[in-house]
Amino acid sequence: LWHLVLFYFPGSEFGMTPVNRCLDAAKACNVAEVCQKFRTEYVSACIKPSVKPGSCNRAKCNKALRKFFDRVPPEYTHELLFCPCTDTACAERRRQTIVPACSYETKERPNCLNLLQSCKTDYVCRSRWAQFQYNCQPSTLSATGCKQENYGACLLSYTGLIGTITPNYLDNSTSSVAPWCSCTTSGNQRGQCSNFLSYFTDNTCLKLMTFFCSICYVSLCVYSTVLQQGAGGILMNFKEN
Amino acid sequence: VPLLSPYSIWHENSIIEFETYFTLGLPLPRRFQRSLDDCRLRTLLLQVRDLGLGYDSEETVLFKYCSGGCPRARTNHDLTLSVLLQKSSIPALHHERIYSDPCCRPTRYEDVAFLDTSHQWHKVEKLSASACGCVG
Repeated sequence: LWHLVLFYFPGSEFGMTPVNRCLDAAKACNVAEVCQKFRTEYVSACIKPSVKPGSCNRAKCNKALRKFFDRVPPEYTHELLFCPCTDTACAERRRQTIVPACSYETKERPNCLNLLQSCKTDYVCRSRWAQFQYNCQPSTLSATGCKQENYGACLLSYTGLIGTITPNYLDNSTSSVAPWCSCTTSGNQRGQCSNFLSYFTDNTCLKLMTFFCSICYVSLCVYSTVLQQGAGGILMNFKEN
Repeated sequence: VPLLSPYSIWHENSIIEFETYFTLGLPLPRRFQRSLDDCRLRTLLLQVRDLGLGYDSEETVLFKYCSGGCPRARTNHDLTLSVLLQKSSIPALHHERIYSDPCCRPTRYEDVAFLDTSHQWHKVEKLSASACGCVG
């Protein structure tokens, strides 16, 4: 498997010099006018203190985040969000990309079903959640792990959730993602709650998509179907080995 | 320390063409001379820590600034001032900081945001110029 991966991504994270791909993504964004502009806009909205001390305007922050992911070309946004990391400095930068302190973190995690319920009452959130469910639906029968076999569509649907359900990296040591919620107080709806959460934590499509879209140049992942075929090929090899 | 020398937002071909003239030491065609001299936005790629504002970040940002010449003595006010300065009829004027020419300055600014080395976000207001004009 690895020689195939190296063939696709020469001298990236497998090279001798330590690189911070998330930092590189930030640098790339800063020199692209549109990316720099909307990045500054959401950071401003998300770090601006609100009237209540120690808090921010979450709604404005989320709106600015949605604008960033909607308006900036995916080759910049996806590099920022799916940059591959081998150390915590890189992974923490990746986790901080969407300003968690303002965009979703609260003192206590809400119940996931409450989160889903409030999402369903909002037109934007509801449609984006439906789109994500469709495009990132896992499948054990597919080599890509996705029922729709389209990483690009899954990737776009995932970023579409930022500013609504706002999933993010759980910590600075793994690549696991989930929304800021828990199922501990779900009572007899536990199964339903875990089902929702597993769409992020135990989703083969999402996992393989993030894996392939982070080791490659993400733009390839979005714009080219060649990679999907390639990814399928690599997966076949992987399974055989 | 600038990572790149100032470059303009020319078309890529123009940059190559410009560099060819420059390296061969040939006199620059008029259109390049004019565009080099005119007051306009120029760009530097800088490390955040080289901005001199005390922020420690490994990110690089585009620092846009204004430079270039402005048409001289545009108004009667400027004309009179330059005559007064040249004639030195009023010696006191020489001790004051008077410019009889318009200045190439930013007319609009933009903010720049970045993440620092301890993973804190910062926004620096009015760091970069986004438009230039001859002021005064």
